[in-house]
Amino acid sequence: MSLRFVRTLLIAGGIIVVALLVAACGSEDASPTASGGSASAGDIVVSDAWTRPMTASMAGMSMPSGTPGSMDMGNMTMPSASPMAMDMSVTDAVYFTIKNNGKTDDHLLSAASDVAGSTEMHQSTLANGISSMKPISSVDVPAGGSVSFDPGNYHVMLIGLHRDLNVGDQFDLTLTFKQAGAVKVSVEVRPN
Amino acid sequence: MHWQRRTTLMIGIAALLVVLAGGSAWAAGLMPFANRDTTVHGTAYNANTVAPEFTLDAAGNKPVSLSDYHGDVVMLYFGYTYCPDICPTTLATLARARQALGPKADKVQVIMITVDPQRDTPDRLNAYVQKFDPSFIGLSGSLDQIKQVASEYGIYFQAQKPNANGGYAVDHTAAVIAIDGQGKQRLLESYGTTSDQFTADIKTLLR
Repeated sequence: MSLRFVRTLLIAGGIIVVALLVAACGSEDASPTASGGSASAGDIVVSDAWTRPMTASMAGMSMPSGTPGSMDMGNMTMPSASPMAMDMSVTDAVYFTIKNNGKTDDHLLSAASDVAGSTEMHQSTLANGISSMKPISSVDVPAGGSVSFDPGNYHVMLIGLHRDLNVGDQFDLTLTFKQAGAVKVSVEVRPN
Repeated sequence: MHWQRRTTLMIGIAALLVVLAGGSAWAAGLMPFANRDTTVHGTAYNANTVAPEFTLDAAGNKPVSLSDYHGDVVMLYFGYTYCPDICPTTLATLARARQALGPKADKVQVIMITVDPQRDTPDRLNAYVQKFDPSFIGLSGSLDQIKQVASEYGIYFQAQKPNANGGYAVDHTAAVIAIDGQGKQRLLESYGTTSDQFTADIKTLLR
C-alpha cells in the first residue's frame, strides 16, 4: 500500500464524514415559511402577519364584549380588591415581522384593528419556567434591522373579538410608527 | 527504514478507521437522537411519583377526576383563556403532537386546568380548548381548589393587577406535565417543547 493511496483514502474518508454531518444537521431546520400579508410605508416593511383561529363568543358567555359583568360569582373571590366589571371578551394574538430599510431608527407606537374592541402591544417573558405578559408602549426598530413579533415574545393582543376568526380569513391591522407613519397590513388567520 | 515507514502507515490506517467509524456513527446515530424513542425530551420526575388526584369541573359543571383517565397518557397544562400567546401556542403544539400519533391518539388526554377560575367558567374553558382539538378538556373550580391542585403539581400562578378596563394577565408556570397510564407523574415538559418532542415522549410513555 503506497503512501499516496493512504493519503487519498484519508481525504475521501474526510469528505464522507463531512457530508454525513452536513446531511444530519441539514435535516434539523426544516421550518416552513408561509407567506402572510405584507405592506410598507417609508422605510418600514411589515410582512408575514398572521393570527390563530378563534371564536368571538364562547359557549357559556353570551354577553357581548364591553358589557359590564353581572355574572353570578357564587362564592368565588376576585384576585384583587377591585370589584370592577369583568372583561368577558375573547382574546387573540397577531404576529408579524417588521423590517426597517432606512438609515434612522424607528419605533412602533401602536396597533389598531376593528376586529377587536381594543388592541394592545404585549411582550411575553419566561423566567424560571413562569410565563408572564406585560403591555409595552413602544418597540424599537433599529435602522437596517428587523424585529419579529413571535409566539413567546412580542405580540399584538386583540381584546374582545367582534367576530369569529376562521382559517383563511383576512383582516386589517394598522401599525403606527413614529417615523414611517401608519402601515396597514392584512393579517391572515392560519390553522393551529 | 522500511519497517519504520510500515509502522507509520499502519498507525495512519488505524487512525483513519477510527475517525471514519466514529464520525459515521456520530453523524448517523447521535444527531437525530432527540427524535428517537430511546430517550425523552422532558425532565423526568423521580420514579414512582404518583400524580396527585384531583376532581374539578368540566363543561356543564360535570365533575372530572384524573383517575377517570387511568390507562391513558394525560398531558396536564395549567393556563387560562385570556392568555393570547403562551397558552394557545402550547395547546396548538399539543394538538399537532396528538394528531401525529395516529390511532394511538385515543390513548392521550390533554387537560388544561385554569389558573383564572374567576373568568374561566367550565363552559368557556371547554369551548376554548376544543378550538385546538375537540378531544381536549378544560377544568375549572373554586380558586381554593385550583390553588390546591396547582401547589400539589408544583405549579405557580399569580394574577396581575387589573388594568383600567378590568382586564388582567395571570403569571403561571408554562410547563406541561406528562402522566402515564398507571397514574405516575413522569415528565415535566418546558415551554418551547416542539410537537415532535411531545409525540416522541408520549410514545415512550405509551409503551
